[in-house]
Amino acid sequence: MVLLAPALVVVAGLAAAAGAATAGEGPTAPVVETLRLLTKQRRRTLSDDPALARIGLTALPVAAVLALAVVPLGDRAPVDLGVGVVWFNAMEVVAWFAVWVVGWGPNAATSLAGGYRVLPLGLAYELPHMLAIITPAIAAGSLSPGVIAAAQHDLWYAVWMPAAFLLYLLSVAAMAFWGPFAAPLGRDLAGGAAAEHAGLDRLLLLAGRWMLLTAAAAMAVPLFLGGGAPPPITGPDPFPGLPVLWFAVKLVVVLGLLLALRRAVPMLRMARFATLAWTVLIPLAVAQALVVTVVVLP
Amino acid sequence: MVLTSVVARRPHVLTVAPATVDAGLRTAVEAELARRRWPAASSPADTDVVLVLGTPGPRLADVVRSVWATVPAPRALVGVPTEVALRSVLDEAAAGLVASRGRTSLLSASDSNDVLPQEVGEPQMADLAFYDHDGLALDALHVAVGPVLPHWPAGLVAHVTLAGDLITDARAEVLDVPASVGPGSRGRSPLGPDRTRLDILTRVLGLLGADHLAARARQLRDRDPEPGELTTFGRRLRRNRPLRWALRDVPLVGGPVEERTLEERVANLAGALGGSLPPPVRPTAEKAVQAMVGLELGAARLALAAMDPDTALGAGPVTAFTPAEVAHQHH
Repeated sequence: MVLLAPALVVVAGLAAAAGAATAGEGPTAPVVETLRLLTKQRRRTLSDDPALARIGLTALPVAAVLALAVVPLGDRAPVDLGVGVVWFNAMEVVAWFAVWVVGWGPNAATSLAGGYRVLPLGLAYELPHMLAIITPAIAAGSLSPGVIAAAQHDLWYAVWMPAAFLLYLLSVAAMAFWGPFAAPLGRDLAGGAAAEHAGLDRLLLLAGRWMLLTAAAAMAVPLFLGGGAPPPITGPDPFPGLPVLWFAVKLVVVLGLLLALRRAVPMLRMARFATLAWTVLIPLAVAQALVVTVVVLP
Repeated sequence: MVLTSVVARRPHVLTVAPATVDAGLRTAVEAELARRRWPAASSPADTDVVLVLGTPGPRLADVVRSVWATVPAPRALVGVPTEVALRSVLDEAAAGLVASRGRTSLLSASDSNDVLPQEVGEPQMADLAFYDHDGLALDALHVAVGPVLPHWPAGLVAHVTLAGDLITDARAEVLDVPASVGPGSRGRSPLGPDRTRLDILTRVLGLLGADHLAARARQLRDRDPEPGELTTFGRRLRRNRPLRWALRDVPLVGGPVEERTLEERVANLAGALGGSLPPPVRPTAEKAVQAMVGLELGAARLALAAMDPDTALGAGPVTAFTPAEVAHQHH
């Protein structure tokens, strides 16, 4: 449990390095960037509310660590919570609050508009996201990520409910306001909620985003990819007693899919994404949940 | 100090260009920054090096001063008057960053990103707007957008009224360029037709966060590509379905008949690449800024970047900018 936060920072840093490499930059760019922001002065604006902004900036990485705490990293979670899925979702809503007040704090128009973009983003992705995480819970009959992972010893839920898996991947990027869903920090708003933050403040925001992305990607492993167990088709486990290894391999695959998504899809305006969510994603999520419910009905 | 020298390897650069900047100088700077892998800063808070191109007039010089006052240390301010000096100036900026140790006293509690005179103590209060998407009367804010923004036309300031993130009114001002120079210079394209198209596409793709496509467009702009490469890139853009989908639902009011939406404009720019066609139409700043009215900020930025007003023509017949009238913010 004590090692959870540093471990998340390291893995999120590696994910950021992979992200920089796929974006055509050196893989060392996140390290240089971190050092740069640490040496950089912090900054304030006229009539701002620095306390509010810093509450948000601190809440973001904290929410990421607390979300990860209920994810089984291998065979069991650091905190084995019976309602882990609900706890995870609650932490994600803390992140909405964080981005919103981070944009609100500096008292600047672009920053405020960026912070507010979290609301249309959340309204668009949250419903398909909730249906997508509740679908494996229905199939396993439990809200505990550990139990859901154990229920997949015959068949991964990613195969059995592919639509829910794809919707979950989309919502991972959306809850970390990253890639196609980076509008709250959009370049069209000069950095949006990040526009007025410098130095350590900016580092917390950008690193918190990668930590949130990594934590949410980690949750995909127990929910859809069988947790720390080897794939059902390989027969006997070639690395018995190393569920953490399987977990890591699967996490790398999920992060790879997310990086491919970022490369394939440009940043979406919130009006566009809301249209997509309400006309395609929500009906799809409802249909998927319905099919699974009918099949598992005793 | 080891730490600062590491930082000077990858400084974020905020480029400020006057409306009359030589297009060759601007593209040369962008190419050199890309070659060094120095990222473009998204805002003054994100800036290490402020790079002033050409010769700024008095109004732009004021903006540079107020932006500089809000750039956190360590920082460096350098000017690039001509292309010849470019490389040595950038080296000098990196050295300046290493040398810049102390914290600047300008960034105390009174620090701001606004071009507000220091004696203005009252924060700007929002008015009530009459119209919004949903017919609600939200707060209306008068904001000056530009001229220091990523992918923004050089020297342009859009004085907009915002209801939430919706632009309900806008007028253009081009800093230090007197009003309209007459129709004679319309259709001029100092970069040539295809390089102008690629320049516009670089900005639109950059705003959309399609970084690898934007980098490719910039690469093709900055060297002499084969016509085949241009048509291939144009086809690649036109066939990119996520891109087309992301560009939909943005009207371009006042554009040519065949380019009444953002999607059509980008499709035409991409389709004409390598085809020996006349240069794309670039409206006056006033016309392009008018097209932002009724759009949400993000869509308005895309519309403006796609129309790519020729700011060297001046701002058209609008009333002169008066700083005392309302509190303006420059970003």
